Amino acid sequence: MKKRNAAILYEFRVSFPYLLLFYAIQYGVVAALWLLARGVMGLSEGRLFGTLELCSMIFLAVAGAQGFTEDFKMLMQNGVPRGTIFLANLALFASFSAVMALIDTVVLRALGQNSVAEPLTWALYGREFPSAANWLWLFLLYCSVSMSFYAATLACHKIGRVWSFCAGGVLLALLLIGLPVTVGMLPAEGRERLALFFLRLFGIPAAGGSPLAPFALFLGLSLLWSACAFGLLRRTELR
Amino acid sequence: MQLDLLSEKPIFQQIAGQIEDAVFTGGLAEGSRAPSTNELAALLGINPHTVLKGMNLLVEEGILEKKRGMGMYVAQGAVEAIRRKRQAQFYRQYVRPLLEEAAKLNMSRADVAALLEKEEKHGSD
Amino acid sequence: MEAIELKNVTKRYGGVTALDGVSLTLEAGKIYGLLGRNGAGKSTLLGVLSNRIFADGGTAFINGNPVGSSAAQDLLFCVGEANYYRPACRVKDLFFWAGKFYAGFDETLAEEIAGKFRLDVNRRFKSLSTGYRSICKLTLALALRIPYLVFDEPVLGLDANSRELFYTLLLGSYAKNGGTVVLATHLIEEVASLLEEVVLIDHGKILLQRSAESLRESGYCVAGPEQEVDRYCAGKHVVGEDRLGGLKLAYCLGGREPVPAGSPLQFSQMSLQKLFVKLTEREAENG
Repeated sequence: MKKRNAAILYEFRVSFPYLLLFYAIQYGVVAALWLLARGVMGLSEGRLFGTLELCSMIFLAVAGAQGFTEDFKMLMQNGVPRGTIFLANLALFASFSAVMALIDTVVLRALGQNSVAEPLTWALYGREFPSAANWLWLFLLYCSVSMSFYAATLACHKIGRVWSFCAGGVLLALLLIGLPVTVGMLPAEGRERLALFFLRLFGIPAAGGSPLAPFALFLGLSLLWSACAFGLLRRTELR
Repeated sequence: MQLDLLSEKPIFQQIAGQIEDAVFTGGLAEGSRAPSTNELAALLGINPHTVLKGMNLLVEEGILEKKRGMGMYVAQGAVEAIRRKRQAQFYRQYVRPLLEEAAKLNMSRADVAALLEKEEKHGSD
Repeated sequence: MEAIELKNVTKRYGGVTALDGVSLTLEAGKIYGLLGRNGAGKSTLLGVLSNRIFADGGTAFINGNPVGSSAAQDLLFCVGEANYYRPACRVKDLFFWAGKFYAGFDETLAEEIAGKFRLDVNRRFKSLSTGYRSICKLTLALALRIPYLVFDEPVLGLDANSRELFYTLLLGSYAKNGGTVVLATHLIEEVASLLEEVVLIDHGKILLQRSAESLRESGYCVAGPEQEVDRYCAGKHVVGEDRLGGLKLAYCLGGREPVPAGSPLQFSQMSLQKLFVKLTEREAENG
């Protein structure tokens, strides 16, 4: 119990300042660009910021990767069992995701009203998307992003540096070359079906997707990555 | 206090010997408090169990006594006890090795006796 | 049972067997020396005990709790050679966190010990010199009351004063609080007098486990003309031999047999270090 509480406290104390720093920088940049655009260049119309959520996702990806490398050593040295380390990391990622989803929902919807920025959900589902759903959608998305990078870092550690680079290279090649080529080789009908499948997966109403689909998708991915991360962490040695 | 890790004598016996010497020469007076096991262990860099073994040796011989909750004290009559013990050991520890060495050097008993007499007259040279 | 118990523990790294079926019992309340050459398997053994690495086979228990259980991890603290503390943390922050993670950690004592070592608690861990990083780790361990305290080469990179201070503080804390201490090192002469029991490890196997006192008493060197020495040594446990001109030296383990007066044989005590060197040398020849 002491170890668990201490581990969770440690995770938050160490990582929370970075969250504050991230938002300070992000909105500092946003404010500066806004002033530049409106004041100096005299632009008064049009959306300036598309997907600020992407910045949050990048932050969470870094946090997810960082969550393993440094904290694992420190917590292991202090005799925290691996299961508890996983729990503490999970608590941190979930809390970060929840807080960031809340901030991004509130701020971006407010900015959206003035057409300064546009929330990702508005772009996908239209302006009628409710705010509570917006928060949950972002929360689950952020969870799956941080957990996937957490699991990926663990996997890289497991297979070693050389194989990680190989795996990364192969993955990148598949994504950048293999995928377009495969898609390009598909018949037109197949391509349409594939596009429709992905649109439905994200619950785009125009494609006839269920509004619940993205929630199920992100939740499923989060759980899947968590399970992978837990399985890997339990067998990770400290050397 | 000096210990010799390479001596034939086990360390705990060396520790007992050192404390005994201190008592015999008056460094530790009868009735005074003996150094604690922990003090000695930390000072000498010796395992406390080893030190305790040495001190218990002296307790068995009646040179030290345990006072409940207060540690070890030098027993009354300790000096006399040490003197008796050392007198008993004198032959084995000093006389026999002396005669053995003399035998190796082809010195007779009379030669040894003459040396002892000379020592008594002139002191060491 | 109040003890560390290893049964048939094996660990392989690729083709190298770091631990080869190690069975070992370390009773509570003693200072143990885990002695071995570089690469003998000391660190691997401690890694398994502290659950940092996993054994490929066998079982390990701490007071009956399987290693890896949270109960076992609360009983043992391991100071390894590698630095696992957060580099950006200040020394005093490391003290703060140790207090959060361990009920038996005394922050005031840690500050006191740091003062004795002249360790600046406001420095960040990463800005400390190699020696002071070790001192910082040792300070964290010395201020912690825990049943099993395990050190892997604790004094490497420390100057003479710091080494002396470490041994003094360790003995002081051990005498006051009891507990079990395991010192894994190849600097045998330096820790010899601290130890109550000695475990010799070589090539991932336990060569012997004995009380330090009995090892010191039973190890000796006999020197003399070759034939005489050979005659004396017949049937005895000889761990090594040396030759000095016509003189032969044999290193024996066990009871000393009285020799008749006038025998040319000469006896002398063998240090723990010599015994260790002879034992591991022979092992290398055999292996």
